Amino acid sequence: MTSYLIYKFKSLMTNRSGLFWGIGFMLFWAVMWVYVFLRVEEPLPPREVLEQVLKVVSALGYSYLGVLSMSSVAIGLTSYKLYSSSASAFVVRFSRLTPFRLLLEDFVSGVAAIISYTLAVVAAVTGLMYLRFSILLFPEKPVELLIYIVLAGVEWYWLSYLLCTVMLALRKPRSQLLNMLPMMIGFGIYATLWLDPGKLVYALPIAPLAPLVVSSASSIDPVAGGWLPYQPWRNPGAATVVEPLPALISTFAWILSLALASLLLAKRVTGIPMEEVG
Amino acid sequence: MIELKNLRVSYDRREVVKGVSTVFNNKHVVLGPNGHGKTTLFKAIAGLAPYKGEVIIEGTSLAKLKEGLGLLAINLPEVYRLVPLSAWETAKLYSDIMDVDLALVEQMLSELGISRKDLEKKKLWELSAGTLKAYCTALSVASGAKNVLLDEPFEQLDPARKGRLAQMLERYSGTLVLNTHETWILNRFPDWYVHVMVDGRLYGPAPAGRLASAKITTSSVEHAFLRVPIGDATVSFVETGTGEPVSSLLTLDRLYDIVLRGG
Repeated sequence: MTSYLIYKFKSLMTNRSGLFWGIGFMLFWAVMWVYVFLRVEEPLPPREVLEQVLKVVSALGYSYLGVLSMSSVAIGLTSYKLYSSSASAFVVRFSRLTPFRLLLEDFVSGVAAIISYTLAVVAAVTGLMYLRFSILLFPEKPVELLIYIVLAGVEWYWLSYLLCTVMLALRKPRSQLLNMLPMMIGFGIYATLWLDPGKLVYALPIAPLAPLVVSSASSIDPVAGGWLPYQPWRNPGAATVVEPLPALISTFAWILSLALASLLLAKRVTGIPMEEVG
Repeated sequence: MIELKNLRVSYDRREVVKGVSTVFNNKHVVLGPNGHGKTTLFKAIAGLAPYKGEVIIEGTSLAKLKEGLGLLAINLPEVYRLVPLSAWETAKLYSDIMDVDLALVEQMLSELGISRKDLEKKKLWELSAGTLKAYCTALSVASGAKNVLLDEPFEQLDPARKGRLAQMLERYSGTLVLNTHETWILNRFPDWYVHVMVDGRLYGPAPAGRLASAKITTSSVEHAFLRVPIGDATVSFVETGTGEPVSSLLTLDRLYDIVLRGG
């Protein structure tokens, strides 16, 4: 391991733009989620019931806000890759950072940053819930929750990698459409709080993981969408249930496709200097 | 040692480097007007521009080169933009991955009037153009690579700093190739080899000292030791006879004036 891994991670975790969009902006929506959107009327229900309801609401909050946070970091990762494209081409030939080592260290630092930002959102929502209701809501299955967050992080990483190589291949490093694609995907997934995409959820990137996060945090059945209008925890069968196995197969298929496409395209765009495509 | 065989570089179907073949195995200057392919030539050697032909570094073709730690360093800023860090952290990163000698970087920059504190506070893009150039030059030289390419290392530096940097470069023990359009360098490094680069082609080499005392003329002169075609004309470098003294040009950008005036 070289110091590239540490420096890249540190830079991602201290990037002002990343901190604002990935945590600050999400903190604002977490406050809205907990204090404005969540209406609990007096008298309060028994503590066990309240705790269960809050657990679901809290899980929905950090799962879907977490997706938005991850999409912000993915945009940052694409920018970092574009920024370093010439340097990467040089160091893989003339430094200790062989192509494999650079790829590995970049992957680890990038995924670690995405996970860290998401965990900050999880902590923010949990903390705000505690501040309002004095109930500390721990996820029901924390290991499962972490696994889904890691998988989402890996998928976002490869998506950002692919976007960078596509921009270089098209010679459009400033393409707003491609740059903002992670955010569009993020908001598309966020929209499934209201809309049920049905079985289509398995064909969408990252989308099946958000319900699985909710489920692992609160133990309710994961549904593809329509959480808010259908309230599936009260009305079982009202929305399409997400099966973990096809969801994981979809996730791995996306990860594999994105990684392969990125690496194949990366070979093709080698030698395109950023200064010439700007 | 860097060997180039029929090196060609094109951007958008426009050929910028046109079949360059030469060997760099000592101290060399690539001298030419701005916009004639000097930087592109260096980028191609460093693998930063798509090229045709062959680049051989220390006996290995660039296309096949892997794990070439210590073979090449270059002072182009984009090479040091691996992670957006402070300039000093970037130096530490390159110290780890390219064996850049941090103490030497600090000493070189201090001699050029740049403090470590400045580097700790500022990101690469926050450095002034002159400081960035000096910083990247210091990093390349302090890497101790066998071959160092310096793109316009004296640009944006005041005369005092130019002199100090020139002293440092003289001390470098490996192969060192720098490009510039300024002619004062010929008197400063009289025993270095000069290749004149015009319109993507390389002419020479000739000893810098010989060029420094030469004159340039557009007349057809048989005893010219270097002839450089510029558009439809040809300028000749001669040791005796009439013509514009090279040392009076200040920059090779003025070659065009000479051609237009028919000097």
